[in-house]
Amino acid sequence: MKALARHPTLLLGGLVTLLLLATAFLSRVWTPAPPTQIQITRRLAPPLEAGLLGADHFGRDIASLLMAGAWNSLSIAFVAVLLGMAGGVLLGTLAAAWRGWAEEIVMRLADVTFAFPAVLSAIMIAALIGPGVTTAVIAIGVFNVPVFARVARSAALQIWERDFVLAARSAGKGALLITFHHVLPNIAGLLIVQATIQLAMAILAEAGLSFLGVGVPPPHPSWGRMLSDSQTYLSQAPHLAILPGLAIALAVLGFNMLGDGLRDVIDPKLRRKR
Amino acid sequence: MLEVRDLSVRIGTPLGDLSLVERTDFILEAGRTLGIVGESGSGKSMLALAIMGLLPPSARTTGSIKLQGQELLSLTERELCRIRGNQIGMIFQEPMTALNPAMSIGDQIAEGLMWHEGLGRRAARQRALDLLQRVGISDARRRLDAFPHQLSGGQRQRVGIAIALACRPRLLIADEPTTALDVTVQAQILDLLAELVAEMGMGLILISHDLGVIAETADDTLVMYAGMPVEMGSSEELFSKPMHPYTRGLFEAMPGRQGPLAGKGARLQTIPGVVPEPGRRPPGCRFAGRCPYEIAACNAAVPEWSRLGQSQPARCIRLEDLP
Repeated sequence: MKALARHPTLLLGGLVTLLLLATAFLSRVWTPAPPTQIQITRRLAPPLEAGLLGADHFGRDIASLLMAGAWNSLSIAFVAVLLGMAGGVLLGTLAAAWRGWAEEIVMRLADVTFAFPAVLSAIMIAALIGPGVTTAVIAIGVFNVPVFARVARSAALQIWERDFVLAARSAGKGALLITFHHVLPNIAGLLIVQATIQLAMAILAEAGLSFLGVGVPPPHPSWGRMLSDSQTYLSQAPHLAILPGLAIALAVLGFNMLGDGLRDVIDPKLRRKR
Repeated sequence: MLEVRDLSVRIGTPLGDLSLVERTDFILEAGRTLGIVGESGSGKSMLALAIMGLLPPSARTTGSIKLQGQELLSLTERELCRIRGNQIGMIFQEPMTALNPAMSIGDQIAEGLMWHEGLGRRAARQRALDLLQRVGISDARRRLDAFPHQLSGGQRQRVGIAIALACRPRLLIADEPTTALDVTVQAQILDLLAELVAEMGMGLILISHDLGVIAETADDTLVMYAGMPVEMGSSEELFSKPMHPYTRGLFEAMPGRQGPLAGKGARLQTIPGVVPEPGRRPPGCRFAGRCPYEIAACNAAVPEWSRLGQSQPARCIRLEDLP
């Protein structure tokens, strides 16, 4: 608790993230109205006139849509980042352990993957297997692999230089054993921080994909598609764009602040001077 | 038990091959302690890593290192992993950094036992507890689950010793094991090492820049200078009558001990200059350039071992002419 008080960023980021998670989970059991229920009589109703946050062009309750959208957005982001992290950390730590040509291959592959923006690869994957949740997860996940591979490799290389790894080698432990017992536990904090920041980026990427129509398919609610739908009604009902936009911004901000705060706590050396 | 013959270590750099260790020979018998002494940059640690086979991939080791008749230099990495920790243990200089900060000390000791001896978790933990008690950690049962940052420097070094000894190695290499410790703790650690060597009958290579530490602990002493042994003999002989000008210089530079050449109340002497870097070493005697007794012939060729009467051998061509 003391740590929280000393790190307002962590506290605020944690609160926003927690709120977001709670909203997402709550949407599984309760929303003010069924998020896909169409009520054409309250079409484009402004906030407080119909429901808390008004209704969209089909008369759907925006508050409920945002809540359900949070679940879709977060679940895709979590799964994608988790997959990308698993793949990237495995590749990165092995590259650091084996060095030589294995490292070269992994890092050049990472470069190649990095050259394709997530959106572009998502559109390519969508062209192959069709748009949908899987497409979004794979596209964002693949984009995360090189990020984690690079972070894990550079952090692991630093650990490999440490005396206790030399001590472990002098005790006869091989590269794999050292990676799992000595390297991973010592870079875990850094990876958690990176994952939090990647979650923010994944939420943004998912919104972008849905905006382009290769993410969550209708009628499932999605922040990105709510934004893209709102374009037509921008002058009549600006809240259609503002509310999902705010939701995305708040989610990204929350995870970013959480990541920054966690980094301050986990690695005090990186702490910025006030 | 350990026989090192004509060992040299060269490392490839963008500027060409550099020689880090050259023409090193020694024999270590079980139950004895060999002290290796020299300034920083003399190649002591490189020698230790070469015996462990832990030099970076760009280093090339030639010559011969035989442990109980087995040639270590011809082994594959996989075979070396079986020997490291099992037949050779190593203790490091910085107990602070040589332990994994994210792992309890009990696990760090048990790890090697599970790996080399195939012990189960419970059995390995019991052995770890015994080892902790053996190296003199008080309240060992509670300490088993402690993390390195919860221990003092001396306790950490004891844990380092416990890890190195876990599989009862034949050979123990201690690279500056007491340099990072308080003087009072130094003596305790050295006593513990001497006790364990006697008890387990292993051979100990003690590397230090501190002549006091070597004099106290080692049966035999090897003096290294710029990657090459310059004097070798029983500690008793070597410390009572150092032959090589470098060894004499080291003795005179030692506070609290009157070098054999210094009168009472004399100023503490220093050896002028620094150890030449690899690649900038003189072609003949490596000590030429810093040696007060240098003559032209010193730079002609690397001096062979020579003796003066019954003295220990030294690599110096002027032994007869020295005061």
